[in-house]
Amino acid sequence: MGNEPITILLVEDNLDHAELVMRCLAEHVITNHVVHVSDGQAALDYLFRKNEFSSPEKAPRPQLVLLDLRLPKVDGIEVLKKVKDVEALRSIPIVILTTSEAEYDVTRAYTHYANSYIVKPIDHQKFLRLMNDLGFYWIEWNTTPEV
Amino acid sequence: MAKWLKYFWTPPSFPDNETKTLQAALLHATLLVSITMAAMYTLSVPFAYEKPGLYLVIGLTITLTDLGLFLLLQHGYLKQIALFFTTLNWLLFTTLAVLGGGLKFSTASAYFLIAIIAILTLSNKWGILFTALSLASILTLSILEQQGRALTPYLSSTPAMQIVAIAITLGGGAAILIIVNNNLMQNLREQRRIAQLLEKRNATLSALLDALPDAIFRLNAEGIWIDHIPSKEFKTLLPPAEFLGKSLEATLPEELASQTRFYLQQTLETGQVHSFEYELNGAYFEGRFVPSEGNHVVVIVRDITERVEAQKEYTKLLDTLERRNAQLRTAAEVSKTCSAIFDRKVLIEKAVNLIQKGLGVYYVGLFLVDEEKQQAVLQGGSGEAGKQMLEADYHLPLKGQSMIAWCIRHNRARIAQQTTRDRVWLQNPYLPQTRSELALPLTSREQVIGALTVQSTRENAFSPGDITILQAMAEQLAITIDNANLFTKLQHELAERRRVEAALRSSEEKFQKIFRSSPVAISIRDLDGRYINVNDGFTALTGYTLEEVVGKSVEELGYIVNFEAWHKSQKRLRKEGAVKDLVLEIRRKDGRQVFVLANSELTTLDGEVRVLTSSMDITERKQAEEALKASEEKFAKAFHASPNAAFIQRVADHVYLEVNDAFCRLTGFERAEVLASSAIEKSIFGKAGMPPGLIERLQNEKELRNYEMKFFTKTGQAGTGLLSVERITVNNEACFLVLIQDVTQQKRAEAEREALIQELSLKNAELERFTYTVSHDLKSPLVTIRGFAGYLEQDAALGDLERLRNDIDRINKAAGQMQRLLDELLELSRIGRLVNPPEHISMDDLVREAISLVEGQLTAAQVEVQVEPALPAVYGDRTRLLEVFQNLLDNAIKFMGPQKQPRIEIGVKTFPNGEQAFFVRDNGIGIAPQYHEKIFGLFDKLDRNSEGTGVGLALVKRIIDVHNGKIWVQSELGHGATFYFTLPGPQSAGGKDGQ
Repeated sequence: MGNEPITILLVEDNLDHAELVMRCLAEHVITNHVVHVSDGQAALDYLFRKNEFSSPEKAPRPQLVLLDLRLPKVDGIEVLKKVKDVEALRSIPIVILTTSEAEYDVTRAYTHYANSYIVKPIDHQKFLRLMNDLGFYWIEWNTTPEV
Repeated sequence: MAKWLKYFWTPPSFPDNETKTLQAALLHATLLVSITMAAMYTLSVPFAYEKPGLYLVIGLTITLTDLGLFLLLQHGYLKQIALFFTTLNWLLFTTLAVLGGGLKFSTASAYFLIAIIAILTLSNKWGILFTALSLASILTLSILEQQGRALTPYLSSTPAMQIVAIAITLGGGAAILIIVNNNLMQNLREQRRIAQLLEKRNATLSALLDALPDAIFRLNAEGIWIDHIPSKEFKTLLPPAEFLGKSLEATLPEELASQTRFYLQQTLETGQVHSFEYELNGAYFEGRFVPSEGNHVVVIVRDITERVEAQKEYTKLLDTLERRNAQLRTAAEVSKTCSAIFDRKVLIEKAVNLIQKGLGVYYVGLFLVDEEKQQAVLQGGSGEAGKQMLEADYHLPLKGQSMIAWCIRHNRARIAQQTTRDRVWLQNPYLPQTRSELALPLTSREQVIGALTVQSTRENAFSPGDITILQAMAEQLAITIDNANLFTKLQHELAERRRVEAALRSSEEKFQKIFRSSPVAISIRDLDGRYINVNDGFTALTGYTLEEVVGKSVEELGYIVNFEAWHKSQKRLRKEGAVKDLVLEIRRKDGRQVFVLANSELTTLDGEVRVLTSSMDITERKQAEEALKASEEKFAKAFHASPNAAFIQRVADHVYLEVNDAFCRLTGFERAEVLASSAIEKSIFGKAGMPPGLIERLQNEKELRNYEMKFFTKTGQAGTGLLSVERITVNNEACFLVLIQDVTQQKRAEAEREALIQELSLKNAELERFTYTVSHDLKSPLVTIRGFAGYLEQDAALGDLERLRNDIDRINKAAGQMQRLLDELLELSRIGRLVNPPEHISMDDLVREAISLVEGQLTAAQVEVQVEPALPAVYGDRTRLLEVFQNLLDNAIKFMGPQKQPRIEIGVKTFPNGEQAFFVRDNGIGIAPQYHEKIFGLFDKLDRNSEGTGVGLALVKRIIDVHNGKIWVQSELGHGATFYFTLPGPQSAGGKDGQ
């Protein structure tokens, strides 16, 4: 809260969608830092500080993870599972952000301890409002434990 | 009176002194004469003188004096008496001469006597003296007379007296002389006799000496050899010349010399005979030392070798005799003691201890051969060692090496005189001190039943002589043992006999009981068939009582309906002694006919041969049998008429005992075929036949209902049947009754339905996935479009033309994506059906066409393509297969990556298992192994941002699938990828139709 640098990890393989999200966030949310990775493996590398993200400077712990489901290399659910499995990373809120509204996907996400499930709205205005609320809620209202 | 006279008459004797004896004898004689003379004088005095008084006195005095002297002489006073007498006589005569007036007196001659007496009775010295004295007296008297001094004759002598005096004197003198002469003569004779004796003795002695085998030596006190009389028997150590005069030490060996000297001393000192034995040069001698005169010792040496030898022999014989004695005694004792004992164990123990004690040996043991005739087992052993060995079950193998085994095998006694050197002897740890051993066989009734061992701590303790005696004892012992055995056996037999008798008695009692009380009809007949006894059971069965049948024969009674059968059986009975399970039909007394099962036996009861028959009423059973037969017939009919296939199979060997027509129709086999072979089960039910689990279940549950099983017909066609199995018994054998309901058709229909359902659900699932994916993939661009469209206004407002253009571009792209997607979806929906009928395709042509279609891209990417020549032809939809190659080439080009020399290879590979597959290989970026499956999935793009809808490979897979082929990829990240796929050849019938 407040003036600390806030990092959001955005895991999204569609570059256009990623662009949209980042623009929205930039406008409406006081954040300094959005990290975008475009596949599941990169997401895991970041969170587990592996490979190119091995130094803490390169990969600051995010306060929020926005995770798409259908990802190349490692699937979204896999990423969710792996992260929630680890005590040290469990407390990071992971919000599933996807186009899919399939019942199956929702159940699966929650079964694996997703903190929230958001379906990307097609409507632009709605999209903007979503991003706004999203950021506000998770960054401003939500409290996470000290690490 | 005689004694007194003898005393008187015998002179004293001086045994040691001959001279004295002679003198005594003479004096004695002289005194006797004197006494006699004096007595005669005295007696004659009264006659010679008128006044005899004086003369009487004189005479008496002289007589008495002489008597007195005489008595004294008898007491032994020789010298004194002789002296006294002689002196007295001289005095007397001198006095008489003086008183008688001189020499005229006759007493002058008496002086002569005196001299004689003196000489005779005294020693020469006195003799001379008295002679001198007498002479002197005479001279004196003579002188006196001469001088004229006449002596007054006081005494007168008458002429008579004178005569008497002369007579006396003469007589006396003569008497004395005679006596002396006698004596002398006697002496002389004696001397001669002695000399003769001596000579004879000498001669005898010489002859004796000659005959003596001994050598005689004489040694002086210093130990020098003085003399030697050689022996005829043996020679001396040295020839006489060399030892005579020499000392002991110089002539004898040291030891012998010192011994000789010792005994020499002893003999000289004690004056007694000493002797000792010695050995010299192998012979034995005895030396006897006899003291001899002059301090010499006579040594008599005798060769006693023979004697010594004889003694040794004797000792030995004595020893042997004693031994024999002991042995005989022992043998006798053993015999006596043991023949009274019948307990074999006690017998043997006593025997060995007796023998050991009697012979005084170290150990005695007795072995008996065991039943198998392989081992000699110790039955008795003396002492502690024996006890230990018995406890340890000590035994020796008959074939092995030991004294006992040898002697048993050869039935001969054996002695090992020195056990350590004996060939056969076996060391026994229990008996360490044995140095010699004697083994004797024990035989009874010409069989070797065992052996006796006698052991001693000395070597050479046994001799062949011992064997004879001990053998006799052993034989006796063997017989006794045998007897003991026989006795025991007899006892057992007796006990057995008694037992058997008791058993027999009890069995007869039992028989009686059974006979009376048995519900089964029992009859006893004699050999002619006449009834002797029947029991109540018989009466119950036949209706005839004992009284009604006794004494009557079977024929007489006539109650057996099938008489022929019975009659035949009797023949058999006589031949074999028994008839079993004979079925007879009997008419009871009340007319009812019953069936019986009869068993007859010939047996001996009370000493007579009887026919014992027991019969059972089997009427019911027979009826049951009939019923069974009827029911079986029913069953058979049902079995064969059944529309369902049925068979009866024997459990034991799986052989089919019976099949019905339906079965034959079902399986296509003929009845005869099925029944003939036991392998039919395999043909019908497959390799495993009835599965083992089935059999088990059957065993546990006894029946089985509707068990589904595959079967095969004769033509090999498969079918499915529902088996119902029941266990039945046919001819006392366990069998299965199996009914088969043919459900092949149903099964097939079911299978088809199943397949359809399966397919349907698969399709459904796919459809769902498809829909989901499509909606998702369509939605995605939509989000982009709307999203950026929304920003367009903002961009315009801000005047950010760059961004504006960018955003519009994104929108367009997204729209294009949507369109492409829709197009391909349409395409995909069509692929399910084969548009073109399958045809023979030349791969070479196909590939060439595919390459030409992607020519543009190949050139643009500068990709080299190599095609293997003479690709095999395939069978399929040409158009679709063309698409396969197009897509694969497309993919290969797209994923070349930074490859400097991009290259694609097309060819065919034959795998080790014979499979042939076509391949398209590129040297592009390759695919990581975890995605090898994924890439064929619908919409599963690895690289989301690459071109392509993600449909391509799915399409390819679908086409290959439709052709019943396989497709897979071999690739590593960074090393290119090879796509393999198989297609049916021209000869195969093709894939599934429809679909």
